[in-house]
Amino acid sequence: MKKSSLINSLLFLSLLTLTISSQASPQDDPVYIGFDAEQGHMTSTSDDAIKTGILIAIDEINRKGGVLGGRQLKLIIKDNRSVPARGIKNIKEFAEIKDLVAVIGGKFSPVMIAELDIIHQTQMVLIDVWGAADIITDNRREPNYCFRVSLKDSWAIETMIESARSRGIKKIGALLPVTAWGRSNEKAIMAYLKTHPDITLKKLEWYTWGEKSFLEKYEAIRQSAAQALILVTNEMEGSVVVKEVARLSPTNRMPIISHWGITGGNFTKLTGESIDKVDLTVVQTYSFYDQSRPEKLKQFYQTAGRLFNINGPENIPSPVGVAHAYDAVHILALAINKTGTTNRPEIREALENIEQYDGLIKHYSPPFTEQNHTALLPENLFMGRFRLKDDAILRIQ
Amino acid sequence: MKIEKLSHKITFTATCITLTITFIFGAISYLYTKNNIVDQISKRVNYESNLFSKQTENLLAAIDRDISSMSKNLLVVNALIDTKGMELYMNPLLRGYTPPGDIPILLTLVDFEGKPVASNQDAKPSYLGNKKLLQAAVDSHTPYAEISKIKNNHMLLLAYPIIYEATGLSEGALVLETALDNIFLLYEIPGQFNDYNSLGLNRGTELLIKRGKGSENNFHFTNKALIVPEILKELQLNISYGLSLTDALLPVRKITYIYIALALLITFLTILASRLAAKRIAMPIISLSQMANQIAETGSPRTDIITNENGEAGVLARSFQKMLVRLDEAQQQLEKKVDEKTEALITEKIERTKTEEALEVSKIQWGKTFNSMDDIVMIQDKDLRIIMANKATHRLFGVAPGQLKNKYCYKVFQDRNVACKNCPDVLAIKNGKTFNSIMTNEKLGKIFDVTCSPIFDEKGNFSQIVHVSKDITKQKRLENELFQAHKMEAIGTMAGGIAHDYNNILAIIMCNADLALRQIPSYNPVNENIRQIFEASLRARDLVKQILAFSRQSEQKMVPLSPSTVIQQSLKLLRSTVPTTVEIKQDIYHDSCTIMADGTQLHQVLMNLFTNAVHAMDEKGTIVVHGRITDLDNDTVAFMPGFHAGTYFELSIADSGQGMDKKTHERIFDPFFTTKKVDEGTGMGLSIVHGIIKNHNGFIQVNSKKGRGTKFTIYFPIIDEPHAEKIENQIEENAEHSQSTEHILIIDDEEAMALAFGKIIQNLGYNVTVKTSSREALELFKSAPEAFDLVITDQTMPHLSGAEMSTEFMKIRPEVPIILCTGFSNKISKEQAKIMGIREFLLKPVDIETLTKTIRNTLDVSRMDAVA
Repeated sequence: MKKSSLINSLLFLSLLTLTISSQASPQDDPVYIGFDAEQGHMTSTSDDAIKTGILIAIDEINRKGGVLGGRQLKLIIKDNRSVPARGIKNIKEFAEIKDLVAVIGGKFSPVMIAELDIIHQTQMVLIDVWGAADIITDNRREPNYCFRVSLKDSWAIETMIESARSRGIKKIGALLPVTAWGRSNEKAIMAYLKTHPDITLKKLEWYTWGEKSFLEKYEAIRQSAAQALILVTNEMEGSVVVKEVARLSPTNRMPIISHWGITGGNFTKLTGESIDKVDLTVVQTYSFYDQSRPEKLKQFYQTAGRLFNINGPENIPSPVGVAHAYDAVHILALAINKTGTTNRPEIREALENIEQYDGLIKHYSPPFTEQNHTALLPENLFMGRFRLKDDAILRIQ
Repeated sequence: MKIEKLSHKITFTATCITLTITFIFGAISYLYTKNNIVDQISKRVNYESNLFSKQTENLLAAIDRDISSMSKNLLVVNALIDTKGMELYMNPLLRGYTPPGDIPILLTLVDFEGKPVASNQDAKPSYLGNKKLLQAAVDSHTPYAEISKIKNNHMLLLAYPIIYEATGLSEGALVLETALDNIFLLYEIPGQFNDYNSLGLNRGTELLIKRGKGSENNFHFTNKALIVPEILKELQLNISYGLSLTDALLPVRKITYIYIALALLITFLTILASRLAAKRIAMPIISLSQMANQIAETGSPRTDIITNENGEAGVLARSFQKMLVRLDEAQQQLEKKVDEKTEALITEKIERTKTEEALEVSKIQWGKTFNSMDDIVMIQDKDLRIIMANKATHRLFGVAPGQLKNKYCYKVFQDRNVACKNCPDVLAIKNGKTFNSIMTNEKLGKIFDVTCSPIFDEKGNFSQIVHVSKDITKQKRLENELFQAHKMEAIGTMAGGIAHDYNNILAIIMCNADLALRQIPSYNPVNENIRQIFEASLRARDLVKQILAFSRQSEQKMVPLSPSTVIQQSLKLLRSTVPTTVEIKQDIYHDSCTIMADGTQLHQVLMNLFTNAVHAMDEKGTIVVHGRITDLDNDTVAFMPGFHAGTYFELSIADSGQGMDKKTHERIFDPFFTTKKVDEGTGMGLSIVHGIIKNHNGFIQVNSKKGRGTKFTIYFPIIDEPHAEKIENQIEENAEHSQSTEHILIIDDEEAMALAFGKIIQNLGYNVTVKTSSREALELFKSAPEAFDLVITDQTMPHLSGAEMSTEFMKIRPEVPIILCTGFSNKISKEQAKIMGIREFLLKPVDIETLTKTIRNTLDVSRMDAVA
């Protein structure tokens, strides 16, 4: 309820802005950024996190004079409820909005994969800040309108299995969703195994969204002699897995090495104390606890504190969403200024030609090129562990 | 009476009776038949309309059930959020659906805009753009039904919302479309519908479909509302069915004509027949009348006449009389015998019932007892084939009752083809008496106390054997653990006592040796002898210390601390002592759990275990250290004497070394037991570990197999909430040390002092660069001002003093944290240093603890300033 009223308010503000802008001079017209995400998804915090990151970056840019010599950046949000058909409709509607330069995507890879055709038909720039399926940016389209400030499934899988290997685990099992995201991870696992014959996939189980128990599949994987479980779920299904495994005797609990979908919701609230009974690690790209770039972090907290009363890492749910979105918007602003217009094909080209950007996550040099539309690198990935008391995700040393 | 008169009367009477009966019968038959036919028609109409209704209702209910259930199928919901999965599994799923009665349907999955995304066939749906359907199924989340006329066909449309649990909203619909004719196609049986019947499907009063050509004129009609699923209720579907009465009554009319003709014929024949019959009947009667008159006239009593009559009637009367007497007697005898027999049978039946009941009770009781036993109980034949086994036996092997029957005992238990050596079964069969044996079953990993007793038949011959196996695995393991615990306790007590005495003796030896060394000049050869005595005494003192540690009498400082932090600190130190050919992997759970422990002793535990691991791996391999919080349940702690179920910190150290055999395994904690060569070890390492863990109220377990490495697992009890405040401090303090990775520049003109400082700080885990010249240090800082997180400098140095150099440093990088150390200086005070921007001021000599804390504080404050 609270969430929907917030969305309505934002939409209203956006429309109000549009109405006002129609009466002003072009120089006063705002430049719009679209945000197409899973607002209506009940357990997701990923959409809020991304929105927080976008708004903090927009505020910083607008306070420094906006873009294109003084035009303010504005955000327009549309809810795709994690449903691809709604995502496609949203992109069509975004494409009709004057001076809308790009759309930031949400957590669900299947939505963005389904949008690929309409994105390229409408020449809409899409910046993916969470969805992990490789194909979103590796889509073989020319020119390619999709960019990513996030990780890829192939990198995530490699990091996860390598973490298993470092613990002496050579036999793994996997639990994947029957979606494009699940298939993307299956492809990544198979590609990894092909080049690493010492690791064996003992059992692969598929599930559909909304399943109420995974115990049978978990047991099948455990009894296949797998030593660890590669888990690809979002927060809802992941929390069920953790709670069910926690109820087993300690000897029957395999280490769970999870993709980051589970961090897209308030995971420890969903699992409760069960999380402390299970050996669960999760792949991440950024931790606000690391304080690796203090100057940028200081700048971030100044704006975040003023706008959202965020003054430290403990108040940031789904942290990767915030960090990725924050850097993505700053990079996008550089591209807008580089072109001097709101013409999307030109902005797409400018994104490929930004030389460098000193971001919150890292120094991007360059963020994107014509051949590479992914701003992060495999070495940015690490494994983390949840802390129950504050839902923090701490880097494993 | 004249014969003619009687004959006429009989003929007349017979004719009248015949005519009356024929008329009445005819009339009743006609009315009965007609009513019956009308009634039959009514029943048939009801029956057949029920039949048609039921078939239609069943068909509609089956369709509703199938599609409604499919709309809730998680795969269908999944398909709406996985567009690319349509070809993979959604189209096949829809195409694989067979509707009830195989009626042709178009089944389509549509998205929230009504756009078809998957279908069971390639046809284009007729309902595209149907806003009512979308409004109901998508916007209002309710099932929707509609009948519409498209090209002379009435089409039935059913739409079921697809609810997406993550949003709680409908994101599409599963839509079924079929012609109503398809549903009524089931009734298209050739010849079934004609001019005399009619079947209609109606929506309210509107006729939608009709079978048969009958009209309402002289028809028996019935109308029946269909009982349909919720989705179809608003359509008010009903069935009307009728049959023609004219047609049904046609046979009755034909039969009536035939009946009238038949009645006339019967009347004519009756007259003829009654004429003849009257004559034949009248004659004997007249004769009998005459005979009766004769008896009446003679006045003979009737019995006399009968008794004396030789005619058939007299013979018959006498025979009847005799027969009646005999029958009466026989009946009386029979009744008597039946009574006797019945009584005997009842008695016998009561006895038999009692015996059977007793037997049944006994059988049930035996069966319950047999199956309720937790031990394995089996009845076997002389070849050791299982005749009967109780539930516990089946449960042990995870098979259904009866599946062990006729299998050989040794095959089932040991997977062998012959009986085991010294099998008590074989011995019991051979000797005819009970045998008992403790048997280890490698296959099951269990130990059994087996008792086998022969069973003899009533002649005393051997018939079967009863085999009872009691699982004593837990008992044996517990006995072993208790034995080990008592043994260690006893050795500890004894060693502790001896060590104290030895300490006293050693004190005397060392004291006197020391005195002698002072008094005897070094050139005297005796001096060397006494020095060796003294050194040997020192070694003995160390050994005694170890014995005291093992016997848990050494001093210790138990404080609440974070085990993960202490373990990580220890690992950092151990890394420098373990050969580089040994890889150390660690996964330590970071959380605020706390145990009561002596940090130094914990370090000793890790050091001793690492020393053993390195030796076991011949200095090449991997040591994996794993730390986490774990719950131990009652089953687990059953084998840990003195332990209770609860939450513990689990620390495991596993090596990839050669492992141990069983004999070594049993003795590893014994003092002075070692597998190392003489002079390579005292055999006290693991004994001390055992003593320390015991002193921490902990428990240590060892898992090892020859050639497969060794794993030590230690459990420490986690302490409760009241210690929380102290705990936090401890953790923070420990956490400070764990962050020691920064780069520190040390400057002191005295080389020895600079190097000593450098070494101490390096041992704390920091990266260190040491300079003995202030000029060189300044040049270095200018070239890379960001490379150093902290500068520690001496105050008194040639060329540039510590204070001057600090000023130069701060010109280059104003926020650089600096600690100034000085022996004694009247040139600069602590306050002056602060004003200059120097963070800390230390007076020499500085103890390590103060230095550690000052470095850490300065770095942390500096970092906080940077963030602020």
